[in-house]
Amino acid sequence: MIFPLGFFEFLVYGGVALTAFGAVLVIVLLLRDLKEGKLW
Amino acid sequence: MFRGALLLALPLAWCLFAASAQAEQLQPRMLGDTRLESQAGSSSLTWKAEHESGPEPTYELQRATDPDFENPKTLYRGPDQGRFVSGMLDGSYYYRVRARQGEAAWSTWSEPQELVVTHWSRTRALGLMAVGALVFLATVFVVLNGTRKVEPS
Amino acid sequence: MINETILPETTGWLLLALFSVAWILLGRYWGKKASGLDGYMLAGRSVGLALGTATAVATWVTSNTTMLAPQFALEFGIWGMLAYSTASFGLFLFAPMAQRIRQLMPRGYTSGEFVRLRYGRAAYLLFLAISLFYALTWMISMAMAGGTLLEALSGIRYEFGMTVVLGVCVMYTLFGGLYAVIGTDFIQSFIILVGVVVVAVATLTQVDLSQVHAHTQATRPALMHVLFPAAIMAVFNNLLFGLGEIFHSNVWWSRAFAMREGIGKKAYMLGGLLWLPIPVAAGFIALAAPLLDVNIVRPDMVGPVVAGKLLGFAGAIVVFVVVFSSIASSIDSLLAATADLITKDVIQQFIMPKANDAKLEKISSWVIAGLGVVTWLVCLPRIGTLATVLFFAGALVASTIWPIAMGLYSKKTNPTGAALGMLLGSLGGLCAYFLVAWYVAALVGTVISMTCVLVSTWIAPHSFDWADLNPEISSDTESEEANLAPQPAGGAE
Repeated sequence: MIFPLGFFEFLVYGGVALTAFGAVLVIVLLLRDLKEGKLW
Repeated sequence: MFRGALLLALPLAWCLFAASAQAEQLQPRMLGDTRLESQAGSSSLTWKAEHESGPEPTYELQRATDPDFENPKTLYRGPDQGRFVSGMLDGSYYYRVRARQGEAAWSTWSEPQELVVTHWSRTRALGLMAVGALVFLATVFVVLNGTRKVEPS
Repeated sequence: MINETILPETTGWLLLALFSVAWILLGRYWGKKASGLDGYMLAGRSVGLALGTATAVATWVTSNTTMLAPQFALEFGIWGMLAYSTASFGLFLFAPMAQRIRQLMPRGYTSGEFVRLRYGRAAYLLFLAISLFYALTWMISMAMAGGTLLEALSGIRYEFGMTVVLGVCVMYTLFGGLYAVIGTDFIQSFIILVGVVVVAVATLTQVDLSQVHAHTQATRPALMHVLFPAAIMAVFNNLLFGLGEIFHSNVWWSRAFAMREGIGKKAYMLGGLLWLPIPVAAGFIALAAPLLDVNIVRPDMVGPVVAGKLLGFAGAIVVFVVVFSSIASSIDSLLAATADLITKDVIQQFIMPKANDAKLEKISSWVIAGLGVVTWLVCLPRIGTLATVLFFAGALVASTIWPIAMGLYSKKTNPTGAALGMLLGSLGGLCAYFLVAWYVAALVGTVISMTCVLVSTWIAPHSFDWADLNPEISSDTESEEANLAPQPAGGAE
């Protein structure tokens, strides 16, 4: 039994998208913490 | 007729001699045991050709499923001295390599190296996976159940 | 055996110099905030969500994630990527534990302290041995990876690369303590996330996933199999190894103490979520190697080689910076957390019980420097087999999972059971490692330790008083505010 192409694509595209989301999220969190003075 | 044959044989002999001299100088060999075993279908193959002078050799790596290389497949041609093979199914695979310097003639083929792939049994693999899953779920339970109990306080 | 590097040596040095100077300056800048022992060791115990999340991601992304994930993909295929991703479960499960730790020990410093107060001396000594062994081998393997990778990527000699990576981390950790570590971790996590995305997207524009799928199936069929035995065996072993690493290590405990009240749970959950896709995003490019006809000599170099081949010079720079960031973000965390453990749990416990906070802060910086020197000396001769020692740490750390988890949540867990669990779990796991194979070591270690903990708890339930975890507060409520010398604690022993 082979992993279907669709699963492979889901994994890769999903993985890359979630990583990109992570990069955006850390910046958004940083800006929010900075604004609220809650960085440290 | 006989003399003609001799005339032909001379350059032929010279060629053979030259080729064997070349082969003596460049004798690539597969490194490691002549028989490799893998239960994961992968192995790092390495090879080498001793040479004292001249340019870095180019290598050619072939694989076959029989030791006589009846039906070989060239996997790689270039300067690297190794290849990581993976994803192989059960079976015996044979590898051999030859080398040449610049545009000189190819060396003879190395002694073949055998890679025997015998994957772990599915039962064993799935059994271990099941034990792993159970232990993991038990750990999750301890943490989540513990958290649920202490959270209100 | 790779005949060419993907980056010229001068470029390598330039990048190395640029980032080294940046980390050190930033470390100094953030270090100014560090006042007192809490400031230096725990960044003032008020780290917010952004920095908390980023430090979890960056620390858990080691050079292994960026290098070994592609290797796992090439060796174990789809399952390999999934197996690697399961290491994020450690972060997910530690999230509620981080909250619990902060609540139970608002003035705590180290994981060793918890084990000592919760389980007493025998378990404590075993735990310290396991913790220090793991932390040192992890640090040594990272420093060696630093030297080896920089050499493979750009031709910078191993000795130089290793010295610079280690030296820079020691310097900024020394200057800025946990502030510097967490601050640089933020930037490093951003670099890693962006770098991984850049390489992945650039790869996707050049190769077609359906071709990768078809080609892999044709030339390396086992990689695409749903029932690839070696790969499915690795899944839970890898997961348990990760749980053991995170549950016991002071790297993660010190962050739990350092995060502001209520932040730990969210930060670790988000950290896990952001870490989860990285092995897939960084790993799948390895599967493109056979299609692109790239010869892979060393499986651990498949990621950089493919990135260099596909993306040329720019790709090589991205890989270099990502690798440097992932190594630095782990070494700095290990330096800080291991120095805390040695200072609080070895020096203060056994050598200088009367040392006050100011003295401990000084000792801690000496320990950081000392750890750097020791690591450097061990790494210098480049004994390749040393890095592989980390792999049998799996058995040891996995044996701590149950003692730690049960110890945090159940009063009944018995100290003898915890100590036996760690001892027998470690020994059993090591036997399995040597007698059976690496991929069962963590599993066997966990099973034995779990059995010891559960059976002993059932036979002789303990009744632990949670207040004993805070001997300072319960014995002298003023000491917390007055910052007096900590009592040579031992209330629970």
